[in-house]
Order: sequence, then structure tokens, then C-alpha cells
Amino acid sequence: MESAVFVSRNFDLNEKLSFETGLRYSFYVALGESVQREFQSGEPRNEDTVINTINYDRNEVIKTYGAPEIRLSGRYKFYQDLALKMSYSNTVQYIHRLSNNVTVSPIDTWKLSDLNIEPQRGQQVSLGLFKNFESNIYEVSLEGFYKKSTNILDFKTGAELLLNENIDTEVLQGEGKSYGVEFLLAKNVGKFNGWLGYTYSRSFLKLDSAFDEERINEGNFFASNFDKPHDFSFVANYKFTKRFSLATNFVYQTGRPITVPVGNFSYNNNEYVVFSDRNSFRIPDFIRLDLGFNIEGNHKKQKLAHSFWTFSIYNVLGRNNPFSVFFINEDDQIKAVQTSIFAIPVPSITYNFKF
Amino acid sequence: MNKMRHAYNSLILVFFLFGCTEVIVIETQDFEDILVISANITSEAKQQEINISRTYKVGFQDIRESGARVMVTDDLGANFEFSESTPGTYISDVVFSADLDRNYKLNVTTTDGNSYSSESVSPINTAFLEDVRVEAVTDNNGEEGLAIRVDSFDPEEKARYFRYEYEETYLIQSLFNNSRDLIIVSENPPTFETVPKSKEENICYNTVFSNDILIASSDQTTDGRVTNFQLNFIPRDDLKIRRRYSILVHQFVQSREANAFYKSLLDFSSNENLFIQTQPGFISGNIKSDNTKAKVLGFFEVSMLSSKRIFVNFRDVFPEGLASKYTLGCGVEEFDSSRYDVLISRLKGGRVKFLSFEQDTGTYKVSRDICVDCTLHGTNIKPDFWID
Repeated sequence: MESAVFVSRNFDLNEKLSFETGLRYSFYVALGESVQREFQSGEPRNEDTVINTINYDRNEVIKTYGAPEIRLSGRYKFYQDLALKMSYSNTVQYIHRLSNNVTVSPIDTWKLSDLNIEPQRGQQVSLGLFKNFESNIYEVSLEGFYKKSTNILDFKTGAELLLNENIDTEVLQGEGKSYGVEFLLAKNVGKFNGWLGYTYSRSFLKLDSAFDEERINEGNFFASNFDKPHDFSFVANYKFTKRFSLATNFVYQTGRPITVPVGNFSYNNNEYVVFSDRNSFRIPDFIRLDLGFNIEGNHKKQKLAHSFWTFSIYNVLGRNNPFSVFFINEDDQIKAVQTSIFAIPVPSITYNFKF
Repeated sequence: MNKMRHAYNSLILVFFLFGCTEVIVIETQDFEDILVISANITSEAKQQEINISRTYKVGFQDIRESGARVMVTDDLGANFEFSESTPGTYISDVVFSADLDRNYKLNVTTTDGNSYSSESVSPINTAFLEDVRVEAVTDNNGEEGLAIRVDSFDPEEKARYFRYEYEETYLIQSLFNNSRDLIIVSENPPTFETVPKSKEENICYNTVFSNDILIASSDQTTDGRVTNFQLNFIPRDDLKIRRRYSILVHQFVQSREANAFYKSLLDFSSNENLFIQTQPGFISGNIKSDNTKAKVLGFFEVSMLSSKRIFVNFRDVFPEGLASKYTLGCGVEEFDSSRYDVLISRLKGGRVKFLSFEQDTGTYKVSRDICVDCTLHGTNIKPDFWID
């Protein structure tokens, strides 16, 4: 159960400079009914170090967490159409996203903080420059951010990813670090309109511990499951006449990180698979271009229904974009397999009507 | 009507829909060449053994690492040098045993000039293998058989993690027992002669070694005992337990770190089908490279060893006797004079063995060699430890 109180205040110092401050206090209570386990302190958390199992009744308090969260943001207008914005915030999150990217269909699960899993905390700063041109026809912005987090949840090496009842022994909590720069150019009006965006961002995670089995990649920062450095998107619409228009959509994204088998080894007469360091490889990049052509019906006002046709092609380049990459064990060989959705251009016709 | 005007319906006709997902095997997989060190120094006084190999590509053979310099040192400055006996297998030059009060360190220098060393490791404690026993059980699949179970106890409660290995030796008696072989004297006319067997073919022994990872831990909530840990299950009709069976169990007391390493290995065993649902990653052990960033796989373990051997007769466990007869397809073939030519080709093929000869009909009886000659299943030399 989560509750919070929030107060905020705006300060407009003068026409150019303004601030907004906010203070939120969030409060979280993990409630039963639930079974929680206690582990021997100073030992890694696993089935062998469970020292006590506690049964909590319905609505019985398991653990409470609470923390103040601060929001600060400011804006300085150099001119009417050029502004600098900056912000700082710290957040406390009681729900954790656990993503796994090795099973056939990548599934995210959500885990609430409890006796053993502490809330995730983060601090973020951002700074952005916003400029409009030619009486707001064009908008340009450049924004950077840096975020540091603690208690980010991720799986241990060897963790059972699915249908695991005791998730507390399968996960680790560590430090996160992410940063990025976002560029956006938009044209909002006119025959030709659309936007172009590019983001360069990185997301890293560090899972370190005094115990080998709780240390990932030697306890160094590594690319998190969400690290996709380049993200480019382009959306453009062109109206030839009142009735005919063309829409295009292009997306490019760096493939997300993945852990792959890098060989086999023999140990005490048995064969094992050796995997790379966590997330040290990437799946293929994602590239997709869609095209659409709209034909609208006549524009008579007294018509029964206003209708239009859309002819579109999804994935014009026919690129085989991975939806998921996973490994199968076939004839004692580990194979990486990729599934993709529509690896060919998919044309479609849509008829829309408004009545 | 006004609301209706805002309702926005769309009808989608997708003309071509070529399936939703497709599966493509990704061709190129990157290979990492990594040194693999398997070293377990035990409290048994012997020439200790360390194995060094390298990772290999899927579908290839294990690559043994030759020419390395291997040394174990203790905290009193004693050096135990190892020499390569067979490729990748290094044996200590002298007999020594791990001592509870000492700390040991492993150093390996490979021919490429890289050197690797382990953390300093000391044995945990001695825990006696209290009992090894066999029990008639029915497994989860409803199969009847024999379970081998162990108990262990460390009164000081220091030993908490254990690894087991075993050697199984079993007696094999040939289904058909006779003392003579049949040889061809002449092919034309077909003439045969029986001669005394040149070797024992009735009673043999075979030994097999465990290669599964068998790890156990004592429960932290009790007095530090391991009870009823099952090492192996042998189906009732397995040839191994048809007559007399013996198992020698070795118990190694592990450190928590060593146990965790073996647990990780279990997660990445290549014959484990469900591993796809485990989080993959590199398994790090307690050996690191001294002069490079090269990764090393493996663990340097120093453990107190406790061993126990037991013998079991099939009828001790299943007093009602055998459930099923031999299933090796041991039929008897008969050859009278009209089929001597077939007998000659069978004998020359070497896959049949003589059973008997009926003088009055001139008929030779033979069966498959594996039903007559037990040396095809094991050795006819009785092991030194064997007790009948």
C-alpha cells in the first residue's frame, strides 16, 4: 500500500526566471497475507541461508518504507522563443520492474518491495534548451539528463526466470547510472509537417557484492537490459491536395544487450556451456520504415458519413527485426534463435468512416 | 447523434498476412577462448591431480592445455610442483595431503606466458560419511529400483556444504556359461573343433565413475546433519545390480564458495533442457589471471575427504528375485550339417560364441558373443577390494 502527501509552489521571480518546487513524502507499507523469509546476515541470500520463515496474516504489516522526494525545476527565458529549463528530482519507487530477455517471449514482471527487497531510489538532473522559429512553425530542443539510482533489481546468474515462487533468492539489487541527450526538431503546421528526433542515451547497472555468486561482470558497471544508445525516429506527412496525403514513419534503434553462449567446456568429465559476461553482446538493430497514402472522400458537409481510405505498407524495407532472441538446446548444441514479426513488407488497406 | 458523430470506427482489411513470427537460427556466434582449471586437493595422501583445458566450439572436442607450469604452495612456504602425466592432466611430483590448519594457493603459468593464481584456500572441517545405504524405492515416474543414500555429520557443525563422487563396481555373470570355444579347422569340407577358452568369460567386473554434480548442504536450522541425500537411482532391471554391486562414495567437504560454484555449473549443464529459462552469465570462480584481463573458468578447492564402500546383492534389496530376465536378445541359434557354411561365416564374423554340440545330430548351438563372453562388458580381473 502506497500513500503520499505532496506540496508544491511556483515562484515567478520575474518575466524571465521562474521556479517550481515540490516536496512529496511517500510512504509504503508491505502488507500480508504473505510468507517472507529471513536470511543469515553476512551470507549470500540463498536457500541454504534461510534462517526463518515468517507467515504474515492478511493486512499484517511486513515492513514500512518512507522517504521524502524533492522536485525542483526552473526556467529562464532568454527571449520569448528561447528558453533554458533545468530540473532536479529524487524519487522512491516501491515497485520494481524485472525484465528478462532470454526466454521465448520477453516478459517483464513486477515485484513490490518487501522484507528483503528495498525500494528503488533515484536522483535525476536535466538541462534543456528550447527554441521556436518563425512564429512557432518550427520547434527545436536539446535536452540532456543524468540519473543515478540505487537498489535496482535484476536477476542473479543462474536464476530461474519463470514461475519462481521465491524470487528473493534469485535477484540482486545494485546501482544504476544513465544519461543521455535528446534532440528534437518539429514542424507543426503546413503542407509538410512532422518531426525528427534523435536520442543518444546509455543505461548501466552495477551488481557488486562480497560474494562471487552475487557479483555480475566482476562487479563493474555493465549495459543494462534497457541500454539502446541510438534511437532515431522520423515522422513526416505531406499533403498533396486536400484529399491526398502521404505519411511516412521511420524508426532506428540500437539492438538491446544480450548474453550469449561463447563456447563449451568440460569439467570433471561433464560438458557445460560457457556464457559471455552479462549483456556484452547485442541483438541486431531495429530498423523499420512504414509508408501510408490517404485518400479522403469529398468534403461535402451534408454527407451521411465522412470517410477516407488509407493504403499503407508496414516494414517497407522488409527488414527482419528481432522481436526476441533466445536459446534452444538442440542435439546437445546451443543455438540462438530469433523471432520477428512481419519480416516482409506488409501492405494493408484501411477504410475509415466517421458518422 | 452528436455523440455518434464523434464515434470513430475503422475497418481494417489486411490483404497479406504471412504468419506472425518466424524463427531464424542466428549463424555467427562469437567464441571466447578461456582457460579452464579443475583442481581439488584432498586430505587423502596421494599424488594430487589438477586438470587444465580450454573452452571449445560447440560440436568440437575438449582442448587439453599442455605444457603449463603448475604449483600449489602452502602458508608455511612448502611448494608442491606438478608434472604433466597425460595432456592437460598434471600430477604432483610428491605424495601429499591437504591439512586442516594450512592455507593453499594454486599457481598456473601457461605456455603463452600468462599466469593465473587462486585465492588462498583452506579446508573447512572433517565430516564423516556416517552411512551409505541402499533402499528399494519407486521413483517419481513409478519406476522401481534401488536408491543409494548417504548421511553425514560434523559434530562441530563447521562442515555445511558437501560434494559427492562415486565409483560403482558390479559383478557380471554371462548368461551362458561354458568352458570351450569353437574354431574352424577347415572350410572345405567344413570341420570344427572345440578348444578350452583362453580366458575367463563367465565372471567379470565393471567399474563406472559418476560425472554428475552431486552437492548437498546441511540444513542451517538443525544440527548440521545431511540425512538421506540420494546419490543415485538404479532401475531394478539394470544390468549393474543383477548380481552383486559395490559403490565407493567420496564425500568432499566444501567451502560455501566452492558449493556456489558447483551450483552455478549445474545451471549451465549442457544436457539440462530447461536452462533456457535461467539467467545466463559467466560463472566466476576463485582463480584469476595475474598479468592480463583474461577470464578463467574453474575453482581451486581444498577439501577434507571421507570415503565409504558398501556391497549389495540383488536379493538383499529385492528378496523376491528378478523381475525380468536378461533383455539383451540372447537367443540360441542351431546349425546342423546342412547349414555349416552359415556357421562358418558367423564364426568368421566374430559376433557369435559356442554353447554346445549335439553328437547324434551333428548340431552346433551358438549365441551372441555378449551373452557368452562377459569381457565385452567389463574386465575378468577381480578388483583388489572386491569381497564376494
